[in-house]
Parts: sequence; structure tokens; C-alpha cells
Amino acid sequence: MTLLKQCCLPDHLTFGSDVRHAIELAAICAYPNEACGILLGHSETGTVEKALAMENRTGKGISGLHYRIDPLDLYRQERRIEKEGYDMMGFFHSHVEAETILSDEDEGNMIPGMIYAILPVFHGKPGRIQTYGKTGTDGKATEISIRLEEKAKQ
Amino acid sequence: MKIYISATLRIFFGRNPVIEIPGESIGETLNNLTDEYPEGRKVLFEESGELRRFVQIYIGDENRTAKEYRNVKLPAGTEILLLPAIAGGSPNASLIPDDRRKAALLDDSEVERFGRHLLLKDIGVKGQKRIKAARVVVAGAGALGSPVIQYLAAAGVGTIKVVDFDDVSLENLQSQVLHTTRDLKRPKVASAKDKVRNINRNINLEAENIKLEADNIVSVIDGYDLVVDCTDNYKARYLISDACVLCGIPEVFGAIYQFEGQVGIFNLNGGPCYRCQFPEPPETGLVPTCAEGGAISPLPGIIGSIQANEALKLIIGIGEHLDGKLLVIDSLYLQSRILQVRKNPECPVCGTNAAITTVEDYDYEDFCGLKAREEEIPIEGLTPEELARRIENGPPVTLVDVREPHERSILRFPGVIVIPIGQLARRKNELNPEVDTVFICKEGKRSILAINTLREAGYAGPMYNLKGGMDAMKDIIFTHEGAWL
Repeated sequence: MTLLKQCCLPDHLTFGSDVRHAIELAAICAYPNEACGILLGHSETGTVEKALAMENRTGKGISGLHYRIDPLDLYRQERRIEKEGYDMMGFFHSHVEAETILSDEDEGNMIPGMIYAILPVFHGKPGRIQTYGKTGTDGKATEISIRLEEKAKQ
Repeated sequence: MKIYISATLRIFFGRNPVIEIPGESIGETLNNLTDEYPEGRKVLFEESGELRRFVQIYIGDENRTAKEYRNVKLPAGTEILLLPAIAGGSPNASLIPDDRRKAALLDDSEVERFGRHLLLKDIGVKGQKRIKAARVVVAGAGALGSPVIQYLAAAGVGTIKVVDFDDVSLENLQSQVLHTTRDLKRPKVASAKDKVRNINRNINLEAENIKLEADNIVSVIDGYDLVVDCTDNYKARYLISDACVLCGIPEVFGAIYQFEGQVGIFNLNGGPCYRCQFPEPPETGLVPTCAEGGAISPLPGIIGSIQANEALKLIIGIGEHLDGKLLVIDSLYLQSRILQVRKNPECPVCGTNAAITTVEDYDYEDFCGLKAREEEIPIEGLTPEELARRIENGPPVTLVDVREPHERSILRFPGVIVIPIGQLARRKNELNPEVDTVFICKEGKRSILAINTLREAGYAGPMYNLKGGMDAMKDIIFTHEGAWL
């Protein structure tokens, strides 16, 4: 098993409530297709500040079961967000009419150190977000608990 | 060369967004890069030396991940983009849990028998074991049940329970390909059991020669993974759907009529049920059954095969299926469409405040209009024998055939007035209210609708229904005819 020294995942993640809302909104808008996007925040504190929806680039007819973010779409988005001072924390996607269990495809495509949030959507209604991560390239993905934080009203 | 490192991978490359590395090709540059950052090598490459699945290499807008580009010389100063492919998908949970899948073993003969399944990436050994571990109820061993039972057995479904109360009759053989001439007058479930044994002796086929009723359905389906509804009447459909909701079992529904068929999946993961889509059955007699309205022979083969395919996909946990959808196929004009079925929050079975909590306490006969209502004036009927005596001995009687012209051409009734059901109200003056009138259709159901239609239209003469219709009358021989009707 290949373990990576530099790659460590936080024990807990903190999601701002607007992050959860943004993920849910993206999932509802994409339903019955899978939604996907990126999570931005501060890796040192394990805080996710922003969820940006991206286009699901899977072929027509299978986007209800799969998602794919085009590498060049991601590249362009990365260049944009670098200026905003956020870290790339990971990705989110929705599971349509399926639980938040990682599929073989999800696990096979995981980048160690990145956070993967999955939101189940059953008949148009979003469920509870679950986050996962991988510490090693051959290791199993582990669940990461999330603390949802309501933003104080200004 | 300059290498742009995606933000998702920078942690393995000293958090640098861009790294200058010597090299004349992608392969050489990546080698030099990972020599400098050994942690990066573990992330980018498998132990075999192949690039990992998520690693993508671009030059400008061109994807250069494929091996053939690895040693192509590049102009000095080219920027290589090292990006991830972010992809995934739903797990497609199978109906069969892993412990049951693991407990199912395939012997040598099964590996040979199911080789074509094992070759499919989406089925493989795991999928075939799930099929073997599956327990499926097929309600109805008629037209739709024929392909469903045979394909599920051929695919290797370990336990198939077939429920049907009927015997095989000659008219079944046009579309019920499970049965043959040798099976005439045998229970359909006995015929099904023989056919399945001929396909695969290892399949556990449970034959239940009973009629599904509210007091037995739960014990019939409880403990099974899936119910495939291959019945041909509304009472059975509502009963099966309600029981599936209450027992938490998904259902693959199928129906055929003339040239058109429907397939849908109900009650999967709390999804919509049959009642969500069809809150009430149509008025009795308004929609004829296949026995009355007919169906083209291969149609149940098409619809039943799709039902079997959907059942297998649910068992294996693959593909996109008809959960919350209704596939409608018109075999005459080769058109098909998929309708979305929304969950009805007011549904009395699966809605938020469900009123039906047990099937035993619900009157399906009444709901489907099969019971005489108290406020309705009862309809008097004549048996075929009574009608034959009346025709031969008098007093005179008016006979009205409400069947459609194409039905009459199959079997004619002599001396009748022909008034199709849709024309009755406006042609009521052709009837003499002083004379008893007997209404005739194929099965004695539409004739009841005809009598009620005339009552509503104000016709006051005495009206009778021929019980069992032409189907029951065909064995009666009139002395003046000396032949079957």
C-alpha cells in the first residue's frame, strides 16, 4: 500500500450553511441529472466557504448516473479562484435516487487529500450531505464528518 | 518545459502552481518532475508505471494523455497542463445486499451457462451472483408472465414464485408462449413450472395456484425482493401495488392493450406507486381487458421482455431504469415515449397521511366497481340457457348486440339489433319499452355498462344482461341452427 506523507485529511469539516444551500440548489436544478462542482475554502482550518456548480459533461442519457467535470473547465475555474485567495478543497456531486455510498467509479477517481461531498436526491428532494476523502492512492476512502455552521446575520 | 499543476494536485508538488522542468517530451518531463517530487510520482502513476485513471495531460486545448503522445518531441517552452479528470457516479444500489450476493456460489456449469453475462463488465461474477440470490414474485403466468418467467429463469434468478389461478385455454395460446397445446386445461402455474424446469433445473420455482386477494397477498409477496406485475385487471394491479408499498417491495409493472403497452417501476426507494399515477380505475366496462379488446401476439413479448430486463437491472444494480417513469410503446406505429410519474403527496397508500395501512381492510371490489352499489338499481341477468329457452319458447324478446363491428364478425348472434355502446343513448327509440330487451357483449361486462347508459338516458323498458356474454353463449346449440353460434 502506498501512503502519502504529505496527504492528510481533516477529521472534521465545517460547511457554512450557504455552502449546503448552494450544493442543494445545484442538485435540485440538475435533477434528474447529477450535479457537480467544486468546493473552496481554507484547508488549514478545514472550512469550506464556497460551492461552485460546474457543468456535468457526461454524455446525453447517462448524466442521471454519472458526472464528469471537464479538466479544461476546472483549469479555467482554478485560474479565476486563485485570485480570490481560496484553497481548492475538493468536489461535490449529487446521487440521483441513490444513497450517499461511494460508487466504485467515485472511489477510483478520487485524488488523495481532496474532499468529496455527495448529496443524495430522492424524487427531487435533497437528503443529507456526506463527505469522503482518501489519504493514500491505494487506501480506502474514509468518511469525514461535517459540522454545519449557520452564518451570523450581519 | 513549464508544467501547470492543478490546484488539486499541488500538495504533492511543493504547492507550486507552475514548475519549470527540463525535458523534450511529455514522458521525459513527467519523469524529471516526479524524480524531483517523489510523492507526486505515487499520485500520478500506478505501481505498474501507467498513469492513474484521473490524471489528464493537456497542451493548450488538446488532450495529450494517451500513451502515443508520451515521447513526441515538443517545442521548447511548451506549457504542459497537469489536470485531474473529476468524475464519478451513483452506486446503483442493487436490490440484493452484499451478504446474500457473497453467499451465492457459481459452479462450473453455471460459469459456462451464464458465460455471456459474465463477459459483460456491468454484470460479471458479482452481478450473476446477485441474480442467483434474487427472489422474485411474478404475478400472472399469462401473456406478460410468459416472457418474464422464461427470461428470469434463463438469466438465472434463483427463486421465482409464480402466482396464477387460471387454467390454460385454447385462446391463451395466441400470445402466452409459456404454454403449449399439451398444456390445455392444466393450471398455468403447473405449465410454468415444467417450462422453467426445462430451462434450468436449479431454479427454485414456487408455483402458487391461487387468486391474489387482500387476505393472501401479503403472505405471498412478503420476504421477496421484487414483484413483477403481469396481471390483466385493475383490481389485481391496485392490490399488488398497495401490498408492495406496505411491504416495502419494489414493483415492475406492465400492461398491454391491443397494440400498445406500458412498463414502469413503482415503489422503489419510496418513489411513486401505481396509485400516484392512476389514482382511480376507469369505470367498469369502459376499458376492455385484453380478453375483450384483444392484443397482437408479439406485444406481450415486447413488454414482458422489457419488464424482465428492468427486473434484472434492479437486481444487479446497473443502468438507468424506469423508476418514477412510465414507458409507453405503440407497436402499431412504432412510437414510444417516457412519461414522468410524480409522487402524489395525497396518495392514500404512499402519501404523507396515508389512509390505507393494510390491504385486508380495503374493499378492492368496491374500489374497482366490481360490486353492485346499494344506490344502484340491480341489473337482472339471464344465463345462456335461460336466454336460449326464452328465444325458443317465447315470449318475444329484443336482443341488442353492443359489440363493435369487428367483434361481431368473429361470432354472430342471429336476430339481434346491432347498436355499438357509443350509439345507445341516441338510438334508444329503436327499442320497444313494452318488450324485454337483452343486451349482449363478449363477456357480459360492457352490456352492464350499456344498460346503465340507457337508464341514465331515461329509457324505462325492462332490460336484462346476458351473463358471461357471447363467450358463455357459444356452447349453446339452438334447435333451428344445429350448430354452434
